[in-house]
This record gives sequence, structure tokens and C-alpha cells, in this order.
Amino acid sequence: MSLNDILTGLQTLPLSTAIAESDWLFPTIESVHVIAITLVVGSIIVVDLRLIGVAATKRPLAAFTAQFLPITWSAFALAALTGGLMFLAKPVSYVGNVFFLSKLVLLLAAGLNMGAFHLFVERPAHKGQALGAARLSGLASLTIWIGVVALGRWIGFTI
Amino acid sequence: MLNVFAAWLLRTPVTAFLENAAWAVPTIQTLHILCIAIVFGGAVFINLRIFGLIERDEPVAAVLGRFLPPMTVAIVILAITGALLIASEPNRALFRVVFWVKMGLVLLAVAATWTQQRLILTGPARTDGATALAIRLVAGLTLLLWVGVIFAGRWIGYATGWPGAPT
Amino acid sequence: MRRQTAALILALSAASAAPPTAEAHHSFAMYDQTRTVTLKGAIKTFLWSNPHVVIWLEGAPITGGAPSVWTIELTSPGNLTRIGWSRTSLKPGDAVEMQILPLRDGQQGGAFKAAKLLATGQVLEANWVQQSQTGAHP
Repeated sequence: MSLNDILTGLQTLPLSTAIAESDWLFPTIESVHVIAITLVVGSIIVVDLRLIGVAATKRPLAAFTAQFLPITWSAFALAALTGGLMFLAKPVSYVGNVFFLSKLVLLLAAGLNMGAFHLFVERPAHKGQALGAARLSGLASLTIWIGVVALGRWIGFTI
Repeated sequence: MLNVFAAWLLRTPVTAFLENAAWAVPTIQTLHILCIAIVFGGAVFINLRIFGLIERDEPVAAVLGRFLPPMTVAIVILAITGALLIASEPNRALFRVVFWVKMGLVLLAVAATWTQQRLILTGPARTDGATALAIRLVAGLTLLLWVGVIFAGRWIGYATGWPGAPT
Repeated sequence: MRRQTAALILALSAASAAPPTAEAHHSFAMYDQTRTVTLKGAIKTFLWSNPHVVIWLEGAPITGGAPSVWTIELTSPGNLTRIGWSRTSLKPGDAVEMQILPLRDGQQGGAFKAAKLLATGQVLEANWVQQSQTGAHP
């Protein structure tokens, strides 16, 4: 069974057809996706600006990571779910779209950056050390997520 | 009258530029979305604090003071990018009811946020029960309004124009 | 805070500029609304899906040119259903003559205006902007 077979199979599921053809279901899923991604990006901006050291520097970094990263994760789960539902509308088309594929690559990069941050940078940064690495982590995160939003829009511009 | 305005817009150099530079509209849309993240995200964070769900060790006024200034700048950019997006397709958004619904909701959301700011920042009434309840009610309302704005914004692309709209 | 906000805005603006692409065609601004191109050919694919129904047409303009694949956009399935279309209105292999509003950048694509099925003479129309009406622009 080739990738194309799997994708075409996905496209013919009743759920996929409903999303592909329904009058209100697709725009609803899209709107929830927008809400989810704005919360991902909004919370990430708060943490990243603190990491980079340009905002709220009197408040400890730990306060921001503890309070805002859970929002990031929950919102990301919702974004992934709604994104997956929209993907079902025309899987073959999306997998052939270079902007969609690039967006997936950038999401992976965002995950790797966050993983590296948690493993190597977070604890020293909470103690006021490794500030250079923290800044880099924050800058990388901001750049990647802005790129994700831009690519997401370009998907909407291509067929 | 709106038809006349749209027809005029179609002939302006701004519109011509937006129509001919392939990257212009997607870039403006991306900036629009990033600013929504700042405004809507900020509104959510302020309201989460009001309901005591995050940053309970920071006073509500401090959280407000941290998020409102970037939200204000972002709203201005949203207005500018929004106007440019209308200019890029003058015959579309202006002639759909849902677009005007969105504009109404934006005005209400901004008014609600401003009311919220006044309730939180003005004087002695800050801690009494009635004001606390009012602050929570307005908080819930602003969130609903912003969610409405996002839904209305998405629906512009799916709506049909009203009778007599130019094609 | 003001300087930081300004810096953030500048950074956002710079980062929002995505690279131009050969495939961009969406937002009605991409289409030249002042002229129509008539294509003749056969339907390759009819993608009946949100957010936009898409036709891939194998053919050429009636004014001449080598046959190739043209990408034509319509509105959403919901809007098209309201004016009498269905997922089977066009099928792969159908021979058609089609009017489109061409892409401004000269690429092979456009916004759908009308199509005539050559086998039956049936005419299908859709107004991409109004989305609720059939028929050509007045």
C-alpha cells in the first residue's frame, strides 16, 4: 500500500467528505485553528521575549515558563487536532504542497528547539546562568513560529 | 455609495500595487494574524489572571499593565493591515454582512477592554464585591467578543455578497 | 516598554515577509478582472473540496498555444451547491470550453467564470466574487 493509497483512502472517509463539502464545518474548524495558533504564538512570544531579555526582566524566567508554557502545549494540541481535520479534506493535495511540507518541517524544528531548551538551557537559565543560550533559544523559537504562521498562510494561497 | 467607494478604491495605486506584487497580500495577512495573536493572546492572559488561573502572585493591575500596551499597538496595526486587505479586494469584504458584524464586534471588544481597564485601575472600589463581579463579567464578555471577531473574520471568505454588490 | 514594543513590531513585520512563490494564486486580487480568457480542453481533475473547488484543465486558449495543465479556482462547495452545482457537475475526461479571469502574473491559471460541456451543450456558471450568483460580470 503506497502513501498515495493511504492518502486517497483518508480522503474518502465519511468524516473527510463531510469536512470537504460542508458549508459550515470547515470554516468552524478553521476559526478554532486560528484561536489555537494565536494562543500558541501569543504564549510563546511572552516566554521568548523574557528569554531574550527584552521584556518583564524583573520577573523571574521560571514564573513565565511555569505559567505560560502549559498554555502553549494545550493550544498546540488543539491546533494539531484542527489542523489534522482540515488536512482530511484533501490529503493528496496537501502532501503535494511544498508550503504544507515546509510547515511540518518547521514544526519539527520548533519541537527540537523546545526539547533542547528544556534539556540543556532551562534549569541553568532559571538560576541566571547560560543567558546567551537562553537568548538564542528564544530568538530561534520566535523566528520558527513566525515562519510557521507565514507558511500556514501561504498554504491558503496555493492549491 | 459603498459601490462608488469600492469602484474608486479599485483604481488607486495602493490597490494596483497589492494586486500586482504576489507576496504583498500573504505578507500582510501573516502580519494581521501575528497581531491577532498579540491582541487575543493578551486578552486571554489578562482574563485568565482575573479568574485567578495564572500568575496569582502578580496583581491584576500589573498583568494588565504588561499586556495592554502591546495590545494597543497591535490593534492599530490590525486596523492598518485590515484596511490594506480590503483595498486589495474592494468588491469583497465591504459587501458582506459578516464583515460589518465583525467591525461592530471589534468596537464592542475594544470598548469592553477599555471598561475593564477602568474598573481594574480606578481607586477604592477595586476590592469590593460588586466591582469584582463586574470585572469578571466584563472579562468573560471581552473574551466572547474577541472569539466572535475571529469567527466573523474567517467567515468573510465564505459569505455571499448582498444584492446589488459589484462583481 | 515602548522601545521594546516598537522592536517587536519591526521584527514581526520583517519576519512576516515570506518568499515569493511561483504558485501563489488565491485572494481575488491575483486575478485580472478586466479580461476573460477562453480555454478549450478536457477536465483532468475536479476537486470538490473546502476551502475552494479546483479544476485542473488539460487544454489551451482558443487563441492558440500548446496544450498544458491550467489550474482554475472556484468558490466553496457550499456556495456552488446553492447555485445548482454538485460534486459530479464535471468529471475527468469531460470536453469543455471554459472562460476564466486570468492570473495577473501570466501563469496558467485563473478564476472560473463559465464552462460549456461540449458533449451536451450544458453551460455551468459561477461568480467567484458574489459566490451566490451565476452569470458573467455585468
